[in-house]
Amino acid sequence: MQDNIKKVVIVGGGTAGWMAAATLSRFLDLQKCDVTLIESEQIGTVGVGEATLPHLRFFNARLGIDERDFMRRTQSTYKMGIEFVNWGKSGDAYIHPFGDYAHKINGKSFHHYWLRNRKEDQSFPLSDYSLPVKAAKANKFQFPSQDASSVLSTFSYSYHVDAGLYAGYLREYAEAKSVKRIEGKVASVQQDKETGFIQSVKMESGQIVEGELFLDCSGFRGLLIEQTLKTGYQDWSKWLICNSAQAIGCKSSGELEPYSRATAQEAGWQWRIPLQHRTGNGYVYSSDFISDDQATETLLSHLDAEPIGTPNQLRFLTGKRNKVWNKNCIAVGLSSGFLEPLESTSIYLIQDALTHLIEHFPTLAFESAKIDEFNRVMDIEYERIRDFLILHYHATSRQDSPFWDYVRTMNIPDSLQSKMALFKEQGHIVKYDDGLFLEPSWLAVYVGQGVIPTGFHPGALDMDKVRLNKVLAELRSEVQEAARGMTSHQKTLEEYLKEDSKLQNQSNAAASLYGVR
Amino acid sequence: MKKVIIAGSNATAWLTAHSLRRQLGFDVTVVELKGACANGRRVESLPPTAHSFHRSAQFNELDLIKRTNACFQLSTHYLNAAPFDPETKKSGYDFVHSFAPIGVDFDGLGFQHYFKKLGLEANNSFDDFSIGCQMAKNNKFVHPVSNGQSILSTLEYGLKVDTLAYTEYCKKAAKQSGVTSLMADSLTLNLDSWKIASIVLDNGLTFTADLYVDTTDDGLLHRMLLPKKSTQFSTPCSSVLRFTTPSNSEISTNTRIQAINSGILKSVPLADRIEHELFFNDSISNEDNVIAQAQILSGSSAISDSEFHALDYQVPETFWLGNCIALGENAGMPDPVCGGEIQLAQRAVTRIIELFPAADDHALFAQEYNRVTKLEYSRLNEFQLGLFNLTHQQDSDFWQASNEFPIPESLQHKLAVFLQSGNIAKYEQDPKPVSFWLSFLLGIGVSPKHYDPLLDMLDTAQAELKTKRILEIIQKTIGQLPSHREYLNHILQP
Repeated sequence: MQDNIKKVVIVGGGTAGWMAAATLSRFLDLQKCDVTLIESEQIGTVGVGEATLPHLRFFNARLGIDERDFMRRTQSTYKMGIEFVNWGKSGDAYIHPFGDYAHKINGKSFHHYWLRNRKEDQSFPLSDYSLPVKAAKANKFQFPSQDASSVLSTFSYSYHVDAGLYAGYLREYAEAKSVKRIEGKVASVQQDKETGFIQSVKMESGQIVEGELFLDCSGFRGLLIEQTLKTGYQDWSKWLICNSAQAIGCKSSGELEPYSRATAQEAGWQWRIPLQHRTGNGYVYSSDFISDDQATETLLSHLDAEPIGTPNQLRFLTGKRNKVWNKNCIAVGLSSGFLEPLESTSIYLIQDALTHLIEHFPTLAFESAKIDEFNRVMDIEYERIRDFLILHYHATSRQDSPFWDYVRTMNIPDSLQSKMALFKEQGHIVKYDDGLFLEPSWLAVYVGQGVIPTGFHPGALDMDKVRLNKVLAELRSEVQEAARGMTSHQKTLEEYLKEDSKLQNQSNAAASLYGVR
Repeated sequence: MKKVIIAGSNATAWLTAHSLRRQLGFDVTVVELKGACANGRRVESLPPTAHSFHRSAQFNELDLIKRTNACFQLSTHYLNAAPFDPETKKSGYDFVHSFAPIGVDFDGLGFQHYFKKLGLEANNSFDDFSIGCQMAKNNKFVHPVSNGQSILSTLEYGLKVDTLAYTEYCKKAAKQSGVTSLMADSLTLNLDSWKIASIVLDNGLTFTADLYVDTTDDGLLHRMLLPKKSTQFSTPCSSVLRFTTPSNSEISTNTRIQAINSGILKSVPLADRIEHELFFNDSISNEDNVIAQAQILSGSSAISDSEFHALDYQVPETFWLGNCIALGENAGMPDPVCGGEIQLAQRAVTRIIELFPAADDHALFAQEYNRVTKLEYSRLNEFQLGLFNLTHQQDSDFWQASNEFPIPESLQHKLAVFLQSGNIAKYEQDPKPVSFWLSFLLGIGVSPKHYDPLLDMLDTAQAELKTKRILEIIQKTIGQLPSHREYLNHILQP
């Protein structure tokens, strides 16, 4: 036996806290290592992240969670992408799907052929080559196929989930595996005088909770990582300028959509997330450009059904903690940084931190190289997502408000600048080995927001026009027919969740946004 | 249609020409400059990634083997002639480093953690758990199978090729796909600020192209374009002695890398001979010593075709400058021991194809090419420095200097992470997969201090049974396989 950690304390419940507790209870032997979660019912949770990425399926699968049970208990629906409305310019709309467009031709990315065709012949929208987009717009959903030769394997899916219910669901899971829960507020934190390591937290009740490893899931304020350890924060608000949000639920209406929607507004954007029992809505905005009252007015006037309750006001600063792991404390969730939920990355980042924690789980020696490596990979992940989010704001031709004037003309990070230049020139998409958003995602957003390359790769000239038109026509009809044959979202959901359902889900969960083909 | 001129006559020149012609349909001319490509090594080991390159070049493997007398490679055999160390009670390591991953992961935790936790090192070495290593040790070969149930599906292999024969093969393929070629004794350039306006051959003929690729040893074109001197990749070696010995009756599926007192002896057994390269530092050993050592190491075998070659590869500040790309030795050799020009060229060509600019101004794409290539070269250089840093020999000035040779922070971090956690820190643009680093570091004797603490939380009885089963299956499989030579004879028979 090594010098193993025997006591982990999680400060804060909510989605991050209970995802952490569930993960630790799955991977640690709680006979040998004690896991305690502290939360206070008086402190509200943010729970904005109701739209998720396909990685959550992987997370649930690793915990051994039954999909049907999870969906019934959390009022979940299916999601194949996000629709962005009015981003490139007013009146525009596109879907960023969880799937690739067509497939490589002669070893070259499909979109070069699409660009060539667009230039010299007829123009069919890129979305005609994406099954998840076509299916989503027709409100259809069925489980993807595992057969890599089938067009039905060209997408993946995730859920719209009630984050509050999900946290409760995971609490049950974790408590059943003997994670302890302590109710109450933390009054003070004790550190080792020499090393600065956190030794214990003292509750308002006077109870002292000691620990060897602390997970800070206390949200924006970062009770341990910031208030105690003064880790510092990188402010990214010059690029991602929204600093406020208001969230509100409304009654369900219309047909159940298998995608989320992000509609650009005068000073930010509004989300719409259809759940089984209600629709989640929220306005993410910059208070430098509109007042909170104006934001409320915009939010309420864009609901498509009767609101439930009153808007919940949130404030934040986009950026990232200087170190997500500092000494014996790891920030998980909003305490580690904040990136607005435009691409549903909040829950993903929680999951990502937990995956890396499990991979680099420390012993009592708190090996510095493990900590450095954890921080290195988290930094890369954060920065790549940051650049992808900035693209949504910057790639616009909107000139209708000071907010859009600012983001359209602002200086962007060099890393993004060069990526955009390469795409504009001839559709080149910069690749990286590991990363969340890969070629199909960048393509979807570039093209969806009107960044159309001047040229295309010279390799796409390797067939004559007639042949190219024929190949493209076949790809379009393959997608169209497959979409036509799919079941409606509502029907799949009802069929799958009813008591004695015979419907089976054969698709494997993977740590990827996209399908198998 | 884009026009490309390639100056050079080595494998790099021809495979670049062939690929650009075949995959992009360009008008490609190779200018075979007399004496401009004389430095290349005689043999090269191509890693498994070469297969996909060959597929896109439409090279048939069997045909390639037939016409170039190539043979298969499963692994690299590292040998250390270090004397017995009374402190560690070890007489130097000796390990086989296979292309294929070692062992299997259980419950999402890497095999290396089980190896440590279960104390398997007491009775086994890490490479006992690799079908590739065991096949290599026993001189066996078969192709991997696609049936995922079989242990042979995990096998990965490369090719050992004679450089001149491979060059001829690429040349023939290039000519068949429509590449034209010209001979010239010398050439001059017409420049237009930072670009090549045209190329003038000694017979007076002038040619213009959209892109010029320079594969000459000295980077002739590149230097005429930008006469600035460039930096050198860091390596503790300054020179190499190349020599040939006759082959053994069996053809090894290994390449051998042996640490010797004065440096490293790399031996690549081919079907008809063994090619050797002895890497040394001329400020520590003189040429006579090195020759003498080569003779001793070759035993009774006669040494032939010996020649010295300086490892003074200059790295241009930018690989792609204006409309000219430096490729091959003149663009630097980040790992002269384990790497090779053909591997570098295959990856570079893939990158050039991906980034080929449609417009006349190449600046943007050149910048991206340079960024990515630089990253890749740093990764390869890290591996080479790792080899020199981690190999130990007592009473050797060369190895003392090598062990003290500075290593970059990125490598320090990788080693520290491995030591502390048994995991590999993965960097962008590393051609070597995580499994490759893992078995290399374990093989060379970097023993992680800890296994994954989560392993203490798991019931490892199942894993213990499975590891035993792996050993049995490997032993059983080995017995049924043909030898490398038998297999080659079988597939090559008419």
